[in-house]
Amino acid sequence: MNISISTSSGSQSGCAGKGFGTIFFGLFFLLGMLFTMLILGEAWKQLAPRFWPRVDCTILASGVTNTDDDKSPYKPQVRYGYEVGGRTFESERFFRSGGATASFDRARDRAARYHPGNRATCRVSPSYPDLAVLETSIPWMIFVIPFPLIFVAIGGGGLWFVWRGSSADDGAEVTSISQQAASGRGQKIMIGFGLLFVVIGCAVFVPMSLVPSVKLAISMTWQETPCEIVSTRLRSWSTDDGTSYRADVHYTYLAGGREWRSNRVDFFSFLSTGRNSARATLDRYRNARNAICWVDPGNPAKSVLDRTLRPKALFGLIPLVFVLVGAAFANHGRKQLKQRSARETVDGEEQQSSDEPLVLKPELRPAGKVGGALFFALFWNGIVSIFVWQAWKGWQAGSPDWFLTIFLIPFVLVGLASFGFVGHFLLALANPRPRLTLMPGRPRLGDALRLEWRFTGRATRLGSVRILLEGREEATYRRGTDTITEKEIFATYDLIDTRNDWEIPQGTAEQLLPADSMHSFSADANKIIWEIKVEGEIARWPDVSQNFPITIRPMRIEDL
Amino acid sequence: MLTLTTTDGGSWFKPGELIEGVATWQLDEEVEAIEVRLFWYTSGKGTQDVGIVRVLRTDSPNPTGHREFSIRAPESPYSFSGKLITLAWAIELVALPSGETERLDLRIGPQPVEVDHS
Repeated sequence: MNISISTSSGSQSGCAGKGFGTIFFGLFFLLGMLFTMLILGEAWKQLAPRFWPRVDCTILASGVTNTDDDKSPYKPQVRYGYEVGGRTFESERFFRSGGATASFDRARDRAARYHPGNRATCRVSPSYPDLAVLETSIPWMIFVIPFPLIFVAIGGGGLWFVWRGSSADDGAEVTSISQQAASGRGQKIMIGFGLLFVVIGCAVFVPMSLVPSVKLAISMTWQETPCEIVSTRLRSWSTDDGTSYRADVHYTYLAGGREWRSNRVDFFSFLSTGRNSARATLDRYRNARNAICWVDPGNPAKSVLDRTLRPKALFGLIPLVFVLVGAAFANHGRKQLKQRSARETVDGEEQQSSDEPLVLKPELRPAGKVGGALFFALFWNGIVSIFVWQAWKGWQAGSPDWFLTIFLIPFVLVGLASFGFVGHFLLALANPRPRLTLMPGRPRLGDALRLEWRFTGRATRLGSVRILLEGREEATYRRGTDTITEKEIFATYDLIDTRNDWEIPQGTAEQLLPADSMHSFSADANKIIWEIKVEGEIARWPDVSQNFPITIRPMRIEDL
Repeated sequence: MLTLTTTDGGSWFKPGELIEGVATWQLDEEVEAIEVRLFWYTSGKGTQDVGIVRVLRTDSPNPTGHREFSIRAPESPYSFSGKLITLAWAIELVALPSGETERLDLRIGPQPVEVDHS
């Protein structure tokens, strides 16, 4: 008996890769879809009452009830009766779901819209007449939907590449390179993601920080009013990160001819705090005599106990990080897209005024260097300081953590060095600044280039000046999760290198650009960059060092 | 089978010069379109960049056929060879959607040889 087995290792590994890719991206897709459906289901549950028929109802009772949930302990409790199909029903359902809140004032105001004995309109489910709501709510959770949709997009995109990418290659002896030409899709995705971050950041920042800050500003016109602290309680609830705490302080005050009750300690009360902070707030008010609150003269229902801007309000600024990162992403994508379209522009269109003299802009201004160094120093030292503080607490308590202490030494040194750089760049702000004018503004290969330089500030401090023209290659690639850019200089021309006092403050230099060199070129990952570098030496002071990128164009077609 | 040839068999073109030739195809089945693409691409250390300059598309072509092409070589970028980057030009004949491809490498620049900084 002959048994023949034929194998193809290439196709086997291809199948294995395809199988793994399918499972991996399939899971992403399914989980994303599952959460998307759950969110959509919940959103629909809240939206559905908007389509239910309106029915007259009678308010039977109205007030605020306590829930068992410390996170949202208050709920408007409004009992109402209505008639459908000759049958009488009673309900206490305010919204289709939820309605509980941490703010006593909000629950009180909602309930106050319905006075016992008054008529109102409720919405009744056409399928289940015993299911009714007094008010419809906005399904805010719909704004969370981008998160699972990211999973859906990654999963769906991955599946598409796994299956479509391979089928296109089958049977093709030469793999098309032009097929890989990006149509700016990557940049558009980057812009989309960036804008998504901006929207999400704003959506969180506005209610968390902007609105309470505006309320705080408005409350500066409110009236000082004596109030009585009637109860203090530490609220706590479990979160993914542990336990959150809030000081729940109830107080009463007289305004507008009646007594009001509120639990608004400050305008940032909704931000949960740590146990110690919440306890400190409770201690502040627990035995407070002659307590003062601030009441809106236009609407006495509105009041606040504390108008101080406390550090916890800074947490409300965290979403701004999202906004800034998102904006940076979107802007980067927009710039790349612009560069791409500029590259695709017909050459003739970019020739306008390129023969005019051009005042060059530095790659990075001295103030920009200070800003960059300061940002790094604050960011680095901000993070390191958390661990240093931990180590310091150990030392203070008499039980030093030696491992942590020794481990932190290099990080602290980098942090100190970063402040050194900030100082260095700050001193460099006082340096004389080079102003360069290039003629023609955007020279071509084969052109004679003329450069005028002039130092503003105290140029006499400069001991020497070197100005050079440099051409270099820059190639960017990814290795793992790192993006690496390698640089290689292919041309250097000294325009001026002098120690003569009379030559340093200003002058001109000429250079013939070789016709057989490479012009400026800029793609996403590969670039040919031409730059004029200015290096000035100052004794016992940070040196002058500035780079000025220039564009060298290819030769004129008619000159070839 | 796909073939691409330039009229005089040359592969060096000065910027602004006409690149003329013929694309022929002999396919087993009908395709959606045939495209002749003039493009540059990079190779070397960096992630590959590709820039398509011109596309000549023939929709619903016969399985066997040919088309002449005439494309003006753009002013830039020049064919270039450096230590990190190589920039090359090519014309591709691509059958869609299968992706079956034939490529003809070109040099575009003022000199017959690419700009060499390697």
